[in-house]
Amino acid sequence: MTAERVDDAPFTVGIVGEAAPGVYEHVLAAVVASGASAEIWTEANALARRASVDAVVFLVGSAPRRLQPIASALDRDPRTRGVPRVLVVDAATTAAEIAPLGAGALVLAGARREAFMEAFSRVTEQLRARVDAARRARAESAELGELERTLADIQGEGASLSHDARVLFGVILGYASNLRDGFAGPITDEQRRHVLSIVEASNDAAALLDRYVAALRRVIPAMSEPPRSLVPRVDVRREHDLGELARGTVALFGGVAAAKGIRLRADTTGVRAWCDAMQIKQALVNLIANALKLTPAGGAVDVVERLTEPAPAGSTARREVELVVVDTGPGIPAEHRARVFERGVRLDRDRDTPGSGVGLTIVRDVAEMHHGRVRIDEAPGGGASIALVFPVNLRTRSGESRAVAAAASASPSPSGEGSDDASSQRSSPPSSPRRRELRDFE
Amino acid sequence: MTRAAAHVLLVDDHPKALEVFELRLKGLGHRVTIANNGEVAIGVVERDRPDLVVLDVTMPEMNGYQACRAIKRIDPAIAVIILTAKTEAADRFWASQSGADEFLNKPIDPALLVQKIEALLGKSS
Repeated sequence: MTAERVDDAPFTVGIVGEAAPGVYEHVLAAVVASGASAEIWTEANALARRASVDAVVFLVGSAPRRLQPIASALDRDPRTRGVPRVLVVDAATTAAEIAPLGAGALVLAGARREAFMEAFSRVTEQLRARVDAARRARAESAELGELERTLADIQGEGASLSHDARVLFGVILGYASNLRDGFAGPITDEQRRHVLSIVEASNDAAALLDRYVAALRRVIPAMSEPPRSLVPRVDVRREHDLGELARGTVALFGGVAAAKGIRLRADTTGVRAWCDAMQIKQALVNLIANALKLTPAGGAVDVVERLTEPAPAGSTARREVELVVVDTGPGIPAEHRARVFERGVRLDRDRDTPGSGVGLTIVRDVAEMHHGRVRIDEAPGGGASIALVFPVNLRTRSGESRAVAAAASASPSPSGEGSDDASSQRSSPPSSPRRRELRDFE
Repeated sequence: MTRAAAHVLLVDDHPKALEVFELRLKGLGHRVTIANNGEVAIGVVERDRPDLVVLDVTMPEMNGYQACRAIKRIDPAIAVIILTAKTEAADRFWASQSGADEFLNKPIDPALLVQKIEALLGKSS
């Protein structure tokens, strides 16, 4: 078919309708001269054959109406809608009769053979241009695919190289530090000075590698996009203390916050909610990591939890819990708030901060799987306040059956808490450094 | 030193990475066992119940997180430090999910690792 053809096979032209023998002869001669092959249709087989040709000749003659069903069929079928048409008309054929047959090159039945030749050479040119365009599009798409694979490989190799080099720097640093501290025998002051330089240089080199990997991620953000199925499992069969979850997650970042001079704390009251603890933690990890990245030294990051007011009797409104991460960073301008949830989107001002623009997408996915949402506000001090909001008692609401069904079909572990099971591949992080899932939390 | 003659199990598939820590820990009077993969490490834990395990993550067969979970199932009182060249927030998250007490990145100054080890041993004794 014309629209998808990229090969060099001759074009085929379908010919249907009535014409005097002389006109038929002109048409066939012109088709052959243009390098195409002709297929003579009857009105009966035209409908069946229509998708197998590259152009159609309507011999309109004195019975234009008989060709209308064929023209309509061509118009209805997306495969044939754009097939070039040549309309061979009598001098008596009216515009109203031609119109339903669609746009095409008009040739008078009584015209000289050259007129037919010219019409067909234009059709052939048109067809060749289409084939070339399709071929170019296919080649470009293949090139883009190839480029994408190459970039993904570069990124994967970069991460893998950085990992291996860190291990080796660890060995250098280890031996040098042992020398420095006298674990390999006495050391002179001069030797110590040299060893300290080795220690410093290997620390610097490891930091440089980090920058390289971060730069690769910035340049190729789409490559680090995780599949949406990253967070496929929602298990709401247990009630969890959100305060405990928040404090546990905050504790993970104690070192990072202290190193940046940021006060990080969880201000929680112990609200309990039905949720998938692993996913809620995953969302909090992303929110806290983002907040710490963007908050300047001396700032603060707080994780608070709130319960909405109980709904008045008779109301169908669900009581919701909010887990909010508030920072004293630059905040997210109102006009960008909808956009930051898109995978791979990062604000221009954050270009120099490591990250892939995936974190908030994960948070949104977790919220949605809990039949909730993510709300971005401005914190009182101008920073960002990002809330993960979801029904506190998801179990008893309409979401339950779907969520539990999804959990049951997605989780290979019958124990409910699949994440505690080391044999569960779903919850075990992959060993291979080439798997991309691990990037998702930044 | 917070307490003498603790038994530390070092697990890494890179022998040189183990040697630097082994030398220092032994020099400080600790007993050190080394294992080159997670399976061997779990065997040592079942048999000898070391006080603390330092686990690499990227190892063939069983990764450090999986080994950590298995160790904590055998005896939750055994302190586990994940020591890895994997530097992303996700790794810290997985480490906490697997029950690790501490997450540290390579390269690390062995003096700092020893500090962390002794702090954990002090906490548990």
